Order: sequence, then C-alpha cells, then structure tokens
Amino acid sequence: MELASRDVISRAEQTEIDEGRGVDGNVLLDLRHLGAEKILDRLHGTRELSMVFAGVDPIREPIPVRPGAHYHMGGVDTDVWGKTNVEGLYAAGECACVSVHGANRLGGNALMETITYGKRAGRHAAEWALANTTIEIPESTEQDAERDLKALLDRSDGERPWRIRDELARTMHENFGVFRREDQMERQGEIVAGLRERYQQIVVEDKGQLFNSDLTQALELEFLLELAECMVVCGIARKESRGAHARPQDYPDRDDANYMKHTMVSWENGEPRLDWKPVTVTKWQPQERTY
Amino acid sequence: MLKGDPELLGRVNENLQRVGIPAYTGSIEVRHLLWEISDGPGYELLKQAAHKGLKGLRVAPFYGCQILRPSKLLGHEDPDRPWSLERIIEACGGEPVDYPAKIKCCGFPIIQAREETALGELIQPIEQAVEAGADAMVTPCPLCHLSLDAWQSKLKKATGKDFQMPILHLSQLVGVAAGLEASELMFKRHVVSVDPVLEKLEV
Amino acid sequence: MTEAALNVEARTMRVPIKIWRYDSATGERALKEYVVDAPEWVTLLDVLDIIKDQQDGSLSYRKSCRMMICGSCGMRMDGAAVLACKTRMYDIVQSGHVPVISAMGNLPIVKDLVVDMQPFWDKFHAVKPWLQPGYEEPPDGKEYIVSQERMNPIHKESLCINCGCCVSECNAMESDPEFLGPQALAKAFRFVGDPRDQSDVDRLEDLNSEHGIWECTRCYFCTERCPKGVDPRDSIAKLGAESVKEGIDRDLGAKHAKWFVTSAKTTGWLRETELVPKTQGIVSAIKETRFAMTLALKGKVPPPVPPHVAQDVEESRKLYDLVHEQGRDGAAGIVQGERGIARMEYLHETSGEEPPDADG
Ligand code: SF4
Ligand code: SF4
Ligand code: FES
Repeated sequence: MELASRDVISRAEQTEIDEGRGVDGNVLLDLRHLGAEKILDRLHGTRELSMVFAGVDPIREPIPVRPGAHYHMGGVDTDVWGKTNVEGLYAAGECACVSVHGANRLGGNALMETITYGKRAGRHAAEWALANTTIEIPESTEQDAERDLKALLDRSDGERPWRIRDELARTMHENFGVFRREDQMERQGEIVAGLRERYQQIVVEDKGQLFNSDLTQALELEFLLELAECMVVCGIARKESRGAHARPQDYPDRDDANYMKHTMVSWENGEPRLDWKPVTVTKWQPQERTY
Repeated sequence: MLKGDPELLGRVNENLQRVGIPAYTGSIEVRHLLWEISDGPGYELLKQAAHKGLKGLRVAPFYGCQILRPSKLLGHEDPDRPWSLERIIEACGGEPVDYPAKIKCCGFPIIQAREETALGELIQPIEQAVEAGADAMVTPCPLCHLSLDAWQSKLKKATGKDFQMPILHLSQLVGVAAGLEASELMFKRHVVSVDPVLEKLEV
Repeated sequence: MTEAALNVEARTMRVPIKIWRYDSATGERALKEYVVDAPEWVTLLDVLDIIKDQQDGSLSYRKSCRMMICGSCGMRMDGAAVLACKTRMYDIVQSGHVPVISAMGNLPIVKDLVVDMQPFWDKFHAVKPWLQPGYEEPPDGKEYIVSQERMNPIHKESLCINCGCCVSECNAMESDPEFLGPQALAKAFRFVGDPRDQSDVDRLEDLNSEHGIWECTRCYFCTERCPKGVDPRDSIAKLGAESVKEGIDRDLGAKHAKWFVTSAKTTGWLRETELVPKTQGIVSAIKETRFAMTLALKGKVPPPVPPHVAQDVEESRKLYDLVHEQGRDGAAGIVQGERGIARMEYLHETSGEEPPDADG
C-alpha cells in the first residue's frame, strides 16, 4: 500500500482518519522495518523533517502523517519547450503544466519538471531572448496595474489579509480536499466568492518601496483566490473520479468517454472561463488502474 | 573521528601495522585540561589549589576555536555560551569579563599565509577585552596564546593601537592563583609584559 | 497558510521575542519587542508570520518552503545564524529566555531580517558551480550512469541549500570580505570531487588564489552553523589536500601545511623555527627577522640547530613513505587532524579520469 500512488494513499489515510481510526488527526507511518542503515542512507531528508517538525525519529518511532496539498498537477499551459500562449513568456517547474502528470503526479516526477523541462524551457527562453527585443505591453494594461497597486497601497483602513488567507486554506482543505462532493464544492464556490469580496477591502500596512513583502503577499492572496475559483469551476465540471480528483459519493468511476480530456481555464472579465482540450494518445494506451 | 568510522579506522590501522606501530584501539579518551578542572572532582581540587587567589583580577576568557567547534565532536559545552573558563576564573578568585569575541578565532592558523586577514581577526578579542576593562586575558590554547601575545606588536604596527594586554595561558592563570613563582611560570618569555598583573596581585 | 488554521485545538503558549528592525533607506535601527500567542509546535518562522500578519505588516524577512529546503530563511538568533523554519520555539519559551533576532552577518542588510545576497551569489558563481564534463553527450538513446558509490564522497556537499548561515559567521570573511567563503568553497568541492567533472586542475588553480582556500582561518563556525550538515571546513581541507596532490602548492598556506608533514617525517616533531622560512620563503623570512628575533629573545622559539629528532622518528618516516607509495600525497595539504582526511582515500579510489560508462 505505501508504494501505491499518492492519491490512493491519501484516500486511504483520510478514510482511516474520518472513520475514527486515526491518532490525533493523523495516521502513523512506520518505517522501522527498513532498519537504521537504510533510513539514514535513503531517507535522510524524511528523517530530518520528521525529527524537526514532529520530534520523532523514524528509526525508533512511527511518524504521524496526514494528507496535505503537496503539488499542483495543473499549471500554466505550455508546450514541450516551456512556451506559453504569451509571446516570450516561458514557464517551468511546478507553476507550469507540460501535461506529463495527468491527474496525479508520481513520486519523484517533479524532477522531470525541473531537470528535463527546466532545461528545455531555459534554453528556449534564452534563444528567444537573444533573437527578440522587448515585448510591447499595451499602455492601458500597464496603467490598470499601476492604478490597482496605488489603490491598494493608498487604502489605510480595512481587513488584514491573513484571515482571508487562513479561511481560504481551511475551507479549501475541508471542502476541496481528498474527497470532493458536488454540494461541498458548490458551497466552497460561495465561500471563495465571499472571500474575494472581502479581499476588495484589505489593507497593506507596509507602504515602503523596499522589500515590501506585505504587498507581495497581498497580491499573492489575490491570485490564490482566483486560482481557488478556477479549481471550483473545473472540479464541479469534471463529473467523474480520476487521479487526485475523487468523488466517491456522486461519481466514483473514471469516465474516459466523456472526460479523457484536459481542463483548460482562462481568466476573462474577472471570472474563470472553462474549456477542454483533447488528449493526444501516442505510444501508451491509457489503462484502468487496478490496484 | 576514527571511532565513529570503523572503515577508516581499519585502513589507518592497516597502515600503522605495516610500519610496525601498534594498532589504534580508541580505548584512550582524550580530555582537555579545561574540561578536567572546570567541573566535577577536578573543579574541587582546583578550588583548593587556588588558595592564593586572583584578588578580583578582571580576566577576559578567550576560548579558541577548536576547543568549542565542531561541538558535535567535542560536546563539552555550548559553543555559543561556553562557561568553563568563567568558572575557572571564579574558582581562582578572579572576575570574568564578558565580551562577544571570546568564542571567535585569534587568526593564528593563517597568520603567516594571510597576515592582514589574521590581524583583522586578532584585533577583535583584544580590543573588546580592553573595552570591557580586563586586566588580562586567559586562553587554554597555546597557539591562541602565541598570537594574542606575540602578534600584539604587529597589531600596533598595522593599526597604531598599542594594547599592552597581558595574555595568560590557562595553566599560568591557575599557577598564579596557586601561588607559584613568576619565574616558574616563565613570564619572561612573554612578549607583552605580565608585570602589571603581578603588581596588582602584589606577587 | 499558517498551520494554526489547521490545528485549532493545539495547546498554545505565550512567546516573547525581540527583533532588530532596520531600514537601509533611512538608516533607522531599533530593537523591538513582540509577544504572540502561538501553538506549542511553532518554529521561529511561524512566530514571525504571526507577528507580520497580526501585529506589524512591515516586518520583513525571507521565506518560502517552510521545510528547510529552499534556504531563504537564514537569520540570527542571539547572534548565531539559524534557519527560522528549523528552529522550534518551545524549549526556548520554557527556559524563559527572550531571544533576539537579527539579520545574518557578513552581508549588507536591506531591511529588517533581509540581507542582500548578491555578494554571496557572486562568490557562488565565481567557483563555476556547474558540471564541466569535458566529454560529449552520449549517443541518442544512451545515458551515462554514475554509481551511487562514486557520488558518495560529495554527498554532503550536495545537500547545501545556499542559505548563507555559514557565511554569516565566517571569521575570515569578517576580516576580509573578499574571501570566497565556506559556501562557495563547499560548492567548489562538490564539483572537484564529482567523478564526471574533468576540470579539477583548473578549478584547483582558481581556488588557490589570494582569496581562496588558504584564507580560511579554520574557525569552524561554518561547520557549527550549517543546518544541513555540509561541514564546509571539511570540504576546504579536502580542496587543500587535492591541490597539494596536484602539485599546486605555491600558496604560503599550502607550504605551511606541507611543512607540518615534512617536519613530522624528518624529526617526528614540528620544527617550529623553520616554519616561518619554509612557509614564507627566504626573502620575506628575512623581512620577518626582527619579529622572529623578538620571539627568539623571549625564548618563544626552540634553538634553531640542530633539529631535535624524536626517538621513534623511523616510524613516522616509514609512515610517510607508505602514504606516498599509496599515492595519497594529498594528505600533506591537511594541517590538523581534520575530518577532511576521512573520506579522501575513498575519493581517490573512485574518481577516474575517463568519462562514466554510457548505458542504454
Ligand atoms: S572554517 Fe574557514 S570557511 Fe569556515 S567559517 Fe571559519 S574561516 Fe570561514
Ligand atoms: S553550506 Fe550549509 S550553511 Fe552554508 S549555505 Fe550551504 S546549507 Fe547553508
Ligand atoms: S523557509 Fe525554506 S529553508 Fe526556511
């Protein structure tokens, strides 16, 4: 079981916790059978994390674990050279979606994003930069951005962003976590809308020009809210279970006939617009996972 | 280092044996004088021995790098907040003087290869000890002793500052407190005179 | 997200903390005290997050991963460089101590706990931190495979996360800001010791420059502070040994190091009187004469001739010859009984000149 893919393990863990067999909201991961030598040699980083954050040495005790958001399978749509649909903009790594992972990334495959596609995107971006000069940005776009920034910095009363961020995190975990249900996702849609409303009145305390992380964190929160809204729209639209998108209550099965396709979403006029893109199948035929 | 690495120990011993030297077994535990007399039975003996006392002499402790770090291998005390020299100074009837550079490097290892850099390190503890009002500095390391004492003249040449800070080795500090003669303690071999200290103590 | 959101029931504690605030634009500097209520499991980084969220949004510090892998959150606690996300607060709070947080040392402060990492990156780049394999990419469909065994000698150096905690307290760098420093040098060893890299000699030549390996003062602060166990001083010792083995021994530091071994070989002791001339060469040794004379007059140096020979010197001579026969002259570049010696032999056994095997 512990060598199954992550979505399977997450569901198993969450089920144990939900059905009351957890320990303080966790399940226990026992590595002791591997022995000290193997743990020190191969799982050095895991041991370090476990010792620092849980105060547990996996050589001697089981590690308390539970599912968490670890990786975004989706991201900025790119081709196999890291190119996005914005001229001159390349993406690589976790922010990008070259579409090698499908609905679930296998352990270790983030290295493919960084090493393989990072190299490809870097090379291409460099070649592009050498062959091109700057890109014209429409003046209105620039002005809009400046105006928004100024409005944000000029506001001196309002809510601090952290409550919105914490609420977003908590509710997404609750309603949009390991298991998803239509009504929960819809409710989450309303919650996110409410949070976006509140975001309009946030206040940035740091007004300075120097390393203003209060400002950057506030801007990031805006993006997080927009991303959450995209996730809600896409999650509701995908009426099946596939990889990390698990709907055991309403749509427990994989539905290749209707949903073997990529979910594409773009931000238009302040809201997400949903689209689909067909999957190109070449050498390997998709198969049902049977463990 | 060897004890924690059986493979390396094996290779070292093989070489030792090939030239006819008995193998290293690791049965001897290496302890520093500093550790022996700053705690436990050694500390009690020290208090008895230091009967003459330092009469409130203000002494700045200077530890030396490799008695503190890497603390994983040495493990006697917190390398950032060491206490052993202070305890010894107190047991000898002196008053320990605190200053930030007491755990830093004296510059000795590169005093020949990179003199300027070394002097830039050396000046910190001496200057801070002077500012903190120390009558003398004490160190358990013979090389720290050498650079703190002998290279003060070079500091003077490089910076114009003439500190004249007397530097005692740990054994000398204990010796003074125990009432040993100045001649026994070889003070005449010092570059910076220890006389002001001796006068203060009316030795 | 602060973990607080997910752990509503966690027991809390009151955490007092002092932070050195600084603004490089105005030059203002102030020690501010904060008190926050936080779950018992918090790290220093969590505490800073709570302060920034709830008490003072202008507090600046770097962070990203929150799990000791990105290297962003290096800062000082009570004068010692730490990773904020690795530092648990519970024991400190229990002890009643109020920690003082400040920016790392040896780098210019931008704001509060944020330092300008540019000098750090400049040195990092100066050691060419990339692989120079010197062989062609393998034919299509093939790849070179390097065994884990051959990579082991540089395993700990590969763990470096570029956090700068070692640089923060490097004593040599405090005195000479141009010193390449522990991070860059540890990184350099990561490539010198890499069996795939074919430019060791060039690299070692560069590292033997004015501000290279021989400027390290062996204070061991880097090793003490490194949160990832890289042990940069050990890497520097190995670079010294590799240099001497390659015959790059013009630096006074290398000569100094070698003399320890020669001296032990010929007399079984350290011939201190000759240490200065053997290290510095005759001309500068003459310049040093007055200084040496002062030391000699004070009886600081043993009488110059004849060198005093230890009873069992034969043993140390034989040992020297044996090590020489085994092709491990690099050991002559290591001054003290440093750990650098520990993995050297292993490294020599495994680093071949030919490219690794191509495999399908
Ligand atoms: S041991 Fe060398 S590199 Fe490490 S901190 Fe000290 S002087 Fe710097
Ligand atoms: S060697 Fe250690 S302390 Fe230095 S940058 Fe790397 S990880 Fe940080
Ligand atoms: S936040 Fe990444 S190392 Fe601390």
